Amino acid sequence: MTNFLTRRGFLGLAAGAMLAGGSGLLSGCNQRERFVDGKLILDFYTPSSPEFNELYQNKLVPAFEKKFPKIKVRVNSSLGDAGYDAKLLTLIAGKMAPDIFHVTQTNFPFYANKGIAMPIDDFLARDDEIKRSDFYQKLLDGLTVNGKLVGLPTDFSTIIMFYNKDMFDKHKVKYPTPDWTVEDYLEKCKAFTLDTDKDGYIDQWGTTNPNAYNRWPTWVWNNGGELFTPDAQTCTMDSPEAIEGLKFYIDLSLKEGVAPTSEQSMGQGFQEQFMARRAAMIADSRFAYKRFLRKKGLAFEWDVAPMPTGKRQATTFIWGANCIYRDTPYPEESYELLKFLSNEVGAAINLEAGNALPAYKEAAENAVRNREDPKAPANDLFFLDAISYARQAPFPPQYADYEAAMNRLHDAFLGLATPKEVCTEFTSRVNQILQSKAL
Amino acid sequence: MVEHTKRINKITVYILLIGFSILFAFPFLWMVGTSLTPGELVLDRNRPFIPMQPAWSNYNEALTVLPFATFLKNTLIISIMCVIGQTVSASLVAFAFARLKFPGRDALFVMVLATMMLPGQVTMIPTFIMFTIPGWIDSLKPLIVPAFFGGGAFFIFLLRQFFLTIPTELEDAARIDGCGSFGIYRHVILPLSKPALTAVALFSFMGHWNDFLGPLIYTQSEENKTLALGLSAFKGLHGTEYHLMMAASVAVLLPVIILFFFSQKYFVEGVVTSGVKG
Amino acid sequence: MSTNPAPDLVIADAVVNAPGPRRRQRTQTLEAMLFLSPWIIGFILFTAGPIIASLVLSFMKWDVISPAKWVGLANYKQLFNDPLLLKALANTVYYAALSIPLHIIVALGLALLLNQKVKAMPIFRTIFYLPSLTSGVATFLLWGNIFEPQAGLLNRFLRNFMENPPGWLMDPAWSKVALVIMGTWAVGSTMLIFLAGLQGIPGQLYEAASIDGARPWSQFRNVTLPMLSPTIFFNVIIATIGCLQVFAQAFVLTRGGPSNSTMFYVYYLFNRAFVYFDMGYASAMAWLLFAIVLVLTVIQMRMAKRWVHYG
Repeated sequence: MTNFLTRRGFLGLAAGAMLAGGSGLLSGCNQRERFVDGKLILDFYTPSSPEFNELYQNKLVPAFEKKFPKIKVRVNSSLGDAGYDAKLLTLIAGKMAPDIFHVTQTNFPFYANKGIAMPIDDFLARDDEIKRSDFYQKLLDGLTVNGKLVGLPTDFSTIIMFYNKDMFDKHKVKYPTPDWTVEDYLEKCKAFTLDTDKDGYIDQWGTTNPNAYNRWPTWVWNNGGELFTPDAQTCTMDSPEAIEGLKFYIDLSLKEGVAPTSEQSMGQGFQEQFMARRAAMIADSRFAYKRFLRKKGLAFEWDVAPMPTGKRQATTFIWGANCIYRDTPYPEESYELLKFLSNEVGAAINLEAGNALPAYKEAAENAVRNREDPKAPANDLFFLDAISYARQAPFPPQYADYEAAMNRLHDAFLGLATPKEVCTEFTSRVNQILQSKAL
Repeated sequence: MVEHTKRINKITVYILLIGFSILFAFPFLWMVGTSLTPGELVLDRNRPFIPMQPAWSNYNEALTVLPFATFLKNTLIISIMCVIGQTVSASLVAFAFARLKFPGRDALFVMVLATMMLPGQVTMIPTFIMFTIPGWIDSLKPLIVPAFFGGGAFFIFLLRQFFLTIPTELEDAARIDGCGSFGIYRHVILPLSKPALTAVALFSFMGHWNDFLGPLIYTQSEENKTLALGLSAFKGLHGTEYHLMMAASVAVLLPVIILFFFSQKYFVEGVVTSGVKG
Repeated sequence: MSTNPAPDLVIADAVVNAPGPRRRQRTQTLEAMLFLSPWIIGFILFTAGPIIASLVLSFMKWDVISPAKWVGLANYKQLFNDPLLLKALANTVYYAALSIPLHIIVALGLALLLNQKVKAMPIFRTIFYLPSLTSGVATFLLWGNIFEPQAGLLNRFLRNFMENPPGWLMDPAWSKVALVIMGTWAVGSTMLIFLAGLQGIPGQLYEAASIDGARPWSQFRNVTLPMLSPTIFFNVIIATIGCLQVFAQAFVLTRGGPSNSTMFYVYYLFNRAFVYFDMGYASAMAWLLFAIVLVLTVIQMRMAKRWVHYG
C-alpha cells in the first residue's frame, strides 16, 4: 500500500479528483437517456418479487414491445418493498420520476391526495380497446380521488376464510357453511385451542386475529357499525356497534384465547401459523395461493369459506394497481403501458405470477369459474361471490395522520387499554384531523 | 504456584471463550440450519435445528432466481474500490490531524466529526439531486467516488486516534534524518498502524458489502444492483420464503467471514517493540 | 581525505542549517493542506451542498411533489410543541444512556478475552464477530423468538427464578431494554477496535509492570486503561453519535411500538420525511438532533483532556 503512493502520485490523485468533479459538474444535466436507437424508453417502477420480476422481463415486456416497436420498457424493480416509498419520493425529488409506478391499497392512500398520479378518465373515454366496465367497479372506486380515476387496477382479492380440513376432521368439527355465523365461528375456534405437546403452553389455536387495517374493519361492519359517516366527514368508530364489533375481534385472542396474542405469535405471521398447522382458520386473500399451491403445496387438505355473518355479511378486499406519474412527458405512451399491464395480457401474467385475481373482470371470472388452476380448492368461487359485499377499508385524505392515530388501536390488541377507550380516543383524534382539513 | 494460577487462568479463558462462542455462533448456525431446511418444513415450529436431509438445492434455487452473479460483481467492484479509497484517503487526512500543526486544526476536526452528526435521512434527497447533475444515477459512481475523498469521518477519527498513540521519538529521529512529512507518513506511521489500517479496510469492506440504502437509491436497472438488494427481494409483498432467504444470506455472508478470518494475522502485534529506548 | 564527513559534523550542519521556526510552520501548514485536500475537496463537492440544502429546507415546507414554501421558524417552533417528538427524544436518550456504557464495557471485556495467547484465536475472534455480520432480518427474527413472552427461550429460562418475567418487546416498559440487549449483542465492531488498540500496547510495558510486582488488576488499571484511552475515547464518541441515531430496530422490527415506547427520534424523523411528506419539518428535527449531539461531543472532548493519554 505504501509503495505506489509517492508524493507525485498523491498530488496526481488530488488533481485528478478535482478534474473529475469539475467536469462532472460542467457536463450538464444529462439525467437519463430517453431515447435509445430512436425508441422511447418508459420507466416502470414496481416492488416486484423475483418471480414476478422474471415474468415481467420475459413475458410482459417482450409482448408489449412487440405491439409497440417504438417503445422500450425499463422495469425498475425495488426488489421487495423495503424503502419502496422512500425511493419513489427521492426519484420524484430528483426529477427522475418513473413514468408509471405500482401501488397497493396500503400505500396508495399516502399518495392519493398529493396529486402525483395523472387522471386517466379522458384516456379511458377515448379508448376503444378497453372500457371502464371491463374492470370491477369497486376497484375503480378505490382509485378515484375527487371524482377522477387516477390509476388502473391490475390485481385484487377479497378476504375470505381459509380452513384446514384435516384439523377439522381430526377434532370432529363440521366444516363452515356459506351462511355460518360469528357465533359458529367462535364455537369452532374453541374446539381447536389446545396444548398439544402438554408443556403448559397453548400451541394450537382456532384462528388468528392480526391487527391489520385490511382485516379488522370487517368485524366493525359485520356488527352493523361503520368507520365513517356516508359523507366521510365524521368518524364513527365510537358507536356501540363499532366498539362491540372490534371488541369481539380483539377478544378472540385476549379474552377467549382462541387466537394467539401478539406475544404468542411474535415472529410468525398469521399465514405461517396456518401453514404450520397451528391455526385452523385464517382470514386471507387469494394471494395466498402463491404459497399454498406452488411447489409441493400445503401438507394438509384445505378449503375456503365466506367470512362468518354477524348482523350482516361483510369483508374487505385488497388490490394492486399502476398509476401514471402526473408530470410524465409521455402520457400517451405511458397510458398504453398502463393499459397493457391491466388488460387480458397483463391479467394472464398476473395470474401466472400468482397475484390473486386480475382486476380485468373477464380474466378473473374465467380463472375461477373454469377452474383454470386445477389445484385450487373446491370453493374457489367464494372469492368472486364476496365481491358483492366486500368493501375497501376507507382512507381520509390526511392519511398519514390517520394511520398514526390507528397506532392507538394497537394498544387494545396488546391489552394495554380497553377497546372502548381506544375507540373513543381514536374517533375524537380522527375527527380533529378531518376538521383541520390540513393536507 | 505461579504455574498453577496460570493454568487456572488459561482454563477460565477457554471456558469463557467457548461459552461465548456458543452464544454468538448460535444465530448463525440457526441461519445455516434454516437455509438447509426443505421449503415445506421451514415453518414447522418443531423442526430440527439441522434437518435430517439437508436441502442443498435451496442454495441453487435462491441464487438463481435472481442474477446473483451480477450482484456479486457489482458488490465486489464497489467494496474493493471503496476499501482502497477510504483506507488511503482517511489515513492521509488522519495524519494531518494527528501529526501536523496548523491553525484551526481542532476546529476543523470538530467539523469533520460534525458530518457524522446529521442524520443521513435528511441529506438523502439533496444528495440524490446533486448526483443527478453529472448524470451519475443508475451507475455505481455515487457509491464509489466519495470514498476517495477523505473516506468518511468515522475512519478519519479512528486513524487519528491510532496515529496519536505512536511515540513521537520515532518521528523526531526520522526528521533528523531529513524525512519530510510525507516520508514520516509513509515510513513511520503507516507501517506501525497495521492493526488500525486492517480494521479500517475490514470495516470499509463490510460496510459496502452490506450497504442497502445506497444501492437502493442510486441504482435503477438490474445490471447495477448489489447483493444486499438481492437479499431484500426475498422479503416479498406476500410472505417470506425463509429457507431461500437464509440460503442467500449465508451465501452473501460467507465471503466476508472468510475475509475476516484471514485478516486476523494483521491484527497481531506489529507495533513498537523495538527501537524506542525509555 | 575521505569524502564522508564525520557524522557529528553532519548533524551539527543539519541543525545549524535547519529552516527557522516560522518557515517550518508555513511548510507544515502547506503540507497539512495537501494531506487534508481529499477531505476538503470531498466536502466541497459532495457533502457541503446537501448539508446546506437540508438546513435551508428546515425553514421551508416541502412535500417533494409541490414547490417548497418558505415558512421561517415555523418548523422549529412546532418542534417544541410536538408531544410525539419529545417522547421520541426521551426514548432515544433512554436507549442511548443504557446502551453506551453497556456497549463499551461488553466490547472491552470481549476484546480482553480475545487478546489472550490462546490457540485457534482467529477462529474465536471470527465467531465473536459473527453477530455483527448476521443479516438484519435473521437477527430480528431470531430475537423476536427469544424475547417471546410466553414460549421464548429467555422467559422460559427466567421462569425458573421469577413468577412474571417481563413482556420484553410486547411491554412498553421493557421494549427498550430488549432492544438494548439486542444491540449489545452485536458489538463486534467496537470490540474489534478495542482489540486493535490492545494490540498497539507495547508488550514491554506489561513486562516492566510485572517485574515491579504488579498484579493483573493493577496492570489493567495502570497500563491497559491509560494506553487504551484514545481508543476508549473514540468508541465512546462513536457510540454516542450512533446510539442517538438509533433507527433500524424501530424501522424493521418494532415500528415504534408498543404504545410508541420504541418510537425513536430518527425513526420519527424518517416517518415525517417519507410518510408524511414533510421534508421541512424532518430537516428541522435533524438539525435539532445535530445541535444536541454536537454539544455532547464537544463536552466529551473537553473532558477528554483530563483522562486521555496519547503516546
